[in-house]
Amino acid sequence: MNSPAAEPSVSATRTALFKKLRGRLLEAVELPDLNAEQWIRYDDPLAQFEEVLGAVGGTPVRVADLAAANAHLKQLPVWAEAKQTVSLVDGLGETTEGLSAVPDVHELAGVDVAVFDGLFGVAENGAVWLDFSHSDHRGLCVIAQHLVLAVPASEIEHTMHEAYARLADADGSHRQKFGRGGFGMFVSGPSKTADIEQSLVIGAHGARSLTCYLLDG
Amino acid sequence: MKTAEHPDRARAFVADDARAHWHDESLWFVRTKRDKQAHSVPEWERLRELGSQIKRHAISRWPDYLEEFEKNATALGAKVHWAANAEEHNRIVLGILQEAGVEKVTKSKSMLTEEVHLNPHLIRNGIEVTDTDLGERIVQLREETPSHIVLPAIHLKREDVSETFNQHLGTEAGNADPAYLTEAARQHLREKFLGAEASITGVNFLVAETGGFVVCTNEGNADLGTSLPRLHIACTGIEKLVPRAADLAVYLRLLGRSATGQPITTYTSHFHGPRPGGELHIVLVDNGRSDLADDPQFRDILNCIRCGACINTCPVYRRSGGHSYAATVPGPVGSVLNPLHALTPMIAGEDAREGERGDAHGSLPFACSLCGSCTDVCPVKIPLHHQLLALRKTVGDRGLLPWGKRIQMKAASTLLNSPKLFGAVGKIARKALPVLPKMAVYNRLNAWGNGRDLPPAPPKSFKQMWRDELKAESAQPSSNGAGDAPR
Repeated sequence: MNSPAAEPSVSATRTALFKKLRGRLLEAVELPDLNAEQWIRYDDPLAQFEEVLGAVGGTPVRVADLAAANAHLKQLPVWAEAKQTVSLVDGLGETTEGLSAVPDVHELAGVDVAVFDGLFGVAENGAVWLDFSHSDHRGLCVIAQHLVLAVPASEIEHTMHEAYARLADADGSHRQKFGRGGFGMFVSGPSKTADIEQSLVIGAHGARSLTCYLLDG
Repeated sequence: MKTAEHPDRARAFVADDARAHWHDESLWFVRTKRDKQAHSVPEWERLRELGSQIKRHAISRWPDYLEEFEKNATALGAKVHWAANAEEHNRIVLGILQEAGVEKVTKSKSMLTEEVHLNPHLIRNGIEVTDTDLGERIVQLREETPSHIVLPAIHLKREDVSETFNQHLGTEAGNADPAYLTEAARQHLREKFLGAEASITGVNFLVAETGGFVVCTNEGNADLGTSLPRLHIACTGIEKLVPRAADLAVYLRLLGRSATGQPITTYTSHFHGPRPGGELHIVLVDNGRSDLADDPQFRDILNCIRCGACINTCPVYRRSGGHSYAATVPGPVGSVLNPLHALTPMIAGEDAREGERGDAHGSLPFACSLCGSCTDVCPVKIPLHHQLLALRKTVGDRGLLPWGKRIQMKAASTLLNSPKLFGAVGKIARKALPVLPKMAVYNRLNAWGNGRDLPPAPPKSFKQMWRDELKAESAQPSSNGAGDAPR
């Protein structure tokens, strides 16, 4: 195909681009201070979270403690019918023997239910923050057929601004925590699509259902 | 340069009246959902203002933030590549895949890879590439292009999808149930996911401060795709930058609500460096973007977060379909981006750049009623209809108007510059129009007469009516005393 000598090197493109961008003077635009803003506050963020999560296809379940959540989970048809499960929450469901080491996500393709801890929820959009910075379980939360989350009921933030404030370093930036690498995601309800005639179908590629336990205790 | 015309390309779509109406209503439904979500946030207008300001700030310090992103992403273990154009982007991506010996790739939605025609390039070089967004997979199987940036298969009815899946995935003939078809695609694509040796994703936001990036999907395809094979290539335009992770809050509050009327997409994934044992490449593509910052009139188009709200609300898009734009990005934003991209070198006195399909897209700024709805819904406050109007002038100045329109414009300019001539022509027209044969009025010289009828000619001109009114007033003393303005 192309002879290597004829190809411009990557750095030549970079150099040319930066020369062009630096050679142009644009008027300054101030970066707004987001801390100076007033955002919506819900009277009852937990109730708001439950309402929105329900609206996006998820199932919020308020329980007294982990034991109550566990008892509820065992009654769920998706759990009762599951052949393979993985739980990353002590006391909430169990992991099928042989799956605890999570060797490769390919080998988890048969998992029916996966159980995760959510650090906090967001009232305005029903999202839960899942932190995978110390593990490689992120594939599990989309490859499992059903998703179960456990979030403390006291840990509901009003808006995304507070959510990011929670994930921030002491100086308000995210250089340290995010800058250490890894993966995290907001998940709001089960996987869905409306690509066929705008008809909403739950269960596109990821979880077919999402149950979120809100723990009082 | 070829100047294919939007009205010509829309003709077939418009001819199927029932389907055109259905298309119109489908998109209006999405627009309605967007309104409901936008109204649920009291600080919505403030968020739009902030969304605009943060992006304008980022562009004002573009090289600084790009450099910061590159430095931080590299420190996290990602390999950052720079591509000046489509050709270089495709060569880089192919090179990475070939070096890793990859033969099968899954790809989540990325309008950038559509723009640079990555798929045909990979396929030509023996790599199987599977689009995994349901809408994109449907159009890929049909060998079509997406007709919308967020809803790629919005032009198709469930019966069309049923036929396509019957042919390619072996689903039951005649079964057009969306749940059944989605399930079939899920099973089919799971196999593709599990067999892939690399995954390609787009990017919604690059975060300069951390060197990470965010990808938003509802289906979970970006997450499933990237968590299976060890190689991940993220392809992105260089304008997707935000300075701080905290800025993501502003855009994530705006994006899902504006795009599909959801409070947020189902999955909002934050990638920071490769996963353990994995390999992450980030390909930053210019492809004409850096030129767009030069003109202050058009600079704000770089704010675009590709939500598609302007497309959903556009009366022309809704009634002409995405394929009539013959470009990856259709609708109001596409009608600015595509001609701007093609014409920017001309503004600088150089030859026009060949746009997609070698078209200068000169007719797109005219595919607009200037209703301004796009500007009203844009979450990052791009003055879209003002830009479209300004682009019409550019297209005219560059001699890219079709000759019929050019002659009419010239005639109108002469006519409207001379009150005497205007009066005389008006007088003649009022007499002549009612008696002229239809052919003399509606011919190819009259582009505006295509599909539109003139209203019946009034017996008198406005000036005559005004004069007659004044005469009548002065003949009959006003009851309200002197100084009263004529009614």
